[in-house]
Amino acid sequence: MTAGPVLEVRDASLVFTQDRNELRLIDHVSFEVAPGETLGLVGESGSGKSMTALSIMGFVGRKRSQRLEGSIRFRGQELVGLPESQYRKLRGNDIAMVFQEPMTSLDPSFTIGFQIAEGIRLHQGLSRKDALKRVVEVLDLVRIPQAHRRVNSYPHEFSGGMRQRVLIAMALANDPELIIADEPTTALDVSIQAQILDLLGSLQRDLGLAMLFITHNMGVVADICDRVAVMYAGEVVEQGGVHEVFGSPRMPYTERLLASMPRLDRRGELEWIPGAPPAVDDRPVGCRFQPRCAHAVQACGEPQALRIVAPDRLARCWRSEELELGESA
Amino acid sequence: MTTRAIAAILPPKRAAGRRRFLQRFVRQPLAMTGLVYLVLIALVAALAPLLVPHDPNVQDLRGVLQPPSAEHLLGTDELGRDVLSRLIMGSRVSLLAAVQGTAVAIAIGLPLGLIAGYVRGRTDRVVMILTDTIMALPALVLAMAIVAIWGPSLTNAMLAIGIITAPRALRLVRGSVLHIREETYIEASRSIGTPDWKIIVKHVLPNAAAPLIVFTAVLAGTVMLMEAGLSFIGLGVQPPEASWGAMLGTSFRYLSRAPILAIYPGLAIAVTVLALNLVGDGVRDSIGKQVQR
Amino acid sequence: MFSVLLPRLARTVPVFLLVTVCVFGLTSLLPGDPAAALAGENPTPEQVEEIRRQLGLDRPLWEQYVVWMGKLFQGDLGVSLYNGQPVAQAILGRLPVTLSLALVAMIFTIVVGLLGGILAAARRGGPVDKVTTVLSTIGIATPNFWIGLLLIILFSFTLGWLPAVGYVPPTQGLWPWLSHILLPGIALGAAGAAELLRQTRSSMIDTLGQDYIRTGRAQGLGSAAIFWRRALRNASLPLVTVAAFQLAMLLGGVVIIEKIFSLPGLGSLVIDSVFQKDLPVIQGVVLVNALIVLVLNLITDFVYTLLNPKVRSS
Repeated sequence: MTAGPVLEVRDASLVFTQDRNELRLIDHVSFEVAPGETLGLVGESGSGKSMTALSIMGFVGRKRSQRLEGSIRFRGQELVGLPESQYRKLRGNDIAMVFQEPMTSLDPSFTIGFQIAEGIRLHQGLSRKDALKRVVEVLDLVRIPQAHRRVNSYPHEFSGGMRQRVLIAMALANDPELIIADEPTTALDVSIQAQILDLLGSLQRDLGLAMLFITHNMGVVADICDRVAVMYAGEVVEQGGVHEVFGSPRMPYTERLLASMPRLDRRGELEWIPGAPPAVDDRPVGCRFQPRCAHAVQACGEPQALRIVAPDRLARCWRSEELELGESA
Repeated sequence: MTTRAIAAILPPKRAAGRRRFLQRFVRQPLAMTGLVYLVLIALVAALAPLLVPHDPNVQDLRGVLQPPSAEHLLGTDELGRDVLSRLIMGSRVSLLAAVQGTAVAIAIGLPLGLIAGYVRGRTDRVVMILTDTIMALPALVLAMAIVAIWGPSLTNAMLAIGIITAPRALRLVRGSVLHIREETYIEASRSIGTPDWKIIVKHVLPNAAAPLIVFTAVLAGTVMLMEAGLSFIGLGVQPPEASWGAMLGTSFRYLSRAPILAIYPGLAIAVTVLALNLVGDGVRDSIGKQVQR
Repeated sequence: MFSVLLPRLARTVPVFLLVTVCVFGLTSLLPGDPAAALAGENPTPEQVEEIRRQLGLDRPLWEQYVVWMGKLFQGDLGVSLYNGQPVAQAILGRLPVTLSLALVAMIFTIVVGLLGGILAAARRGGPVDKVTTVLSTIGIATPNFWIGLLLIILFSFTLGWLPAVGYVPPTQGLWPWLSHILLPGIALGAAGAAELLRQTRSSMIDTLGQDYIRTGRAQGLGSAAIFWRRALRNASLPLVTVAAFQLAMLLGGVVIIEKIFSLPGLGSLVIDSVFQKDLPVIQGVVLVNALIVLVLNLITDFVYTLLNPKVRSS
């Protein structure tokens, strides 16, 4: 295992050209994922978190109308501009992705064994028998009962939670180094959510995987992530270890996100953030959160840079040090 | 929250939908072209006697199968009659026949489909078996058989075609009704005691109308093709009258001598059916997503 | 699987019975008296009555029907009023011609329709897609006999490549058979190909937009594997129904095509017998045709069940 980060995103921007307008769906985003670590990428809908995941996988940003700028390095290899044929060797092999909709993400016409084996045979070149053995292995890993029999079952014979397990098994089949999970529990019942998160957590620990976990739910982040990067309107606005960020947020948006989490030990009304994130083509020049920020002042109209405010702590707010945010305030 | 629950009980707004539909329709070039063509050809058919350069039935046995000339823009046929005039008159016959056949099909299919779909139960089953039976029999052959028995004439042919294509209309209507009757506003209407027939007329019918209109355009095309087929072999319109299909039929006998005679009527049929299909597609694409199922 | 097919079979039986009733009923619709027609010139009432008794026409209608059905199951479809030949024999004699025609048309429809639709979907929005869409839209609107006429004008008269009339059985050589059956086959299959192409394209595009295709890409599968394995398999389900429908329509279209190309098949038999009011022949052909359609429907259901795992395993 290399000592460096598994995933290194530097100033990545996804530029979408429409009618001669350039829209930056993600704007100079930077973060890293170290080996064996889970980084949470958190934000509202439209913050650009899913786009980031798709960019890393190479599903977007490969057309003239949809450019990817900056650098995305996986184990040191540059992914931006990588030819499709080489990208395919990485997908499902070294980098695997788990999507949000387990109900529709499996092909209804083939058995789950066949679908998982397809990826195994493609990347590992195993015979059908050996591939099937591996399929049973990973199905066991994700705790699907009677794996050796269910290999021949069709997707419609599984519940939503089970299907998500199958998809996770599919992701693990070729021993990836990085798993990108894009809101894997959002479409599931609450009780199943806990199970899946539990599973992901233990798998990650046991297999030493690096994971990029995308969600809009701060509660989930607290549960499963080591570090967190908060996104807003296409930018990363805060980054750091989960304990530190949750304990003392350094950016008003983060603080608002934390405050809006429903908690058992707090009574009273749920807090919410007034207003809505800016549209992609209608972003304010300065701090993008300014229109909704309770602490905004004149100087917030200047463009804000992501600054180091403490060891391993980044925040995009020039008032980070002087504001006292969070519980400790 | 409550507004949404109430909205589920109210029948969908139709007036606003209609305006939006028209707006969307006019923006589709293909559909509009089809519509323009149909209007034009309908005008030609209506004004045919005024538009013909020559009497379509006058024969000139010394000038048969002539190529196009200044006198006869499209040449003459096997009896020396002016092709262009016959083509124009033929539009009348063909279009009228198509309207007749379609009307019969809808007159049978619509009420039966409404009833079968709404009432369900044994009525529905009986109707479906009848429908399946007719659809199992070969359309053209059945039409031919019926016309042979009743005697060849255009009216008989269109009646036969109408009866044979009615099952398709019936199935479509029934399908729509099956879907609509599950809507909450139907239930609400029933719960306040509205009689069934009133529900069908006021609520079910207008909402089933949209897909039916699309279907009607396509059906008219199918009917036209079937009439052309029957007339081609001589079982449809009888001479001296001629539809485009009949003209094609007679041209067949002189195919080697004057192949061009086969091109005009066939082209007329193809273009008209095409226009009907395009309009049908256009209507379908212009229906809002909430109505389209 | 059979649990699905048995009720379907059960539903087909009453339909078939009803078909036989309809076909039988055609007789009673005919104006005039068949017995009198057969009796010849100036028959005496006794002679007509005798013939009527011989034909069994004096029995009640339902009894005639039962007798007729009985004969049906023995393969006796009656005798032609025109030339006295047994109907069953006439039909069997002409069946190979019509089947040849239908076969060629079927192959044309499926090959052109499927491949065209797949190609159009794969290169969606490109020139191939636009051209095929235009061609298929036109193809649906065109009467198949007109296409036949045009093909004759082009390939027989102008280019002289293929004959315009006649049928040659394959026993006399493959190319002679093919050269005579190719043009009519194409004319017959064109409309079906156009419709199938549209549906295939639409189904493929729908399928390609599904989430499981995205999963396949995430696994690193190449576009070829995704396209030909996962997409096609799922897209083909609705196409089975469409294809079967088009094939059933083929049988109706043979009539005029056979006339144009002078093929001695069932179609021209029907036309002749319609003009001769030869009812037993008409009945026979309609019946055989309906039977084929019903069998085709059953086969379609069977194939659909095979392809659709949801129906299979439940």
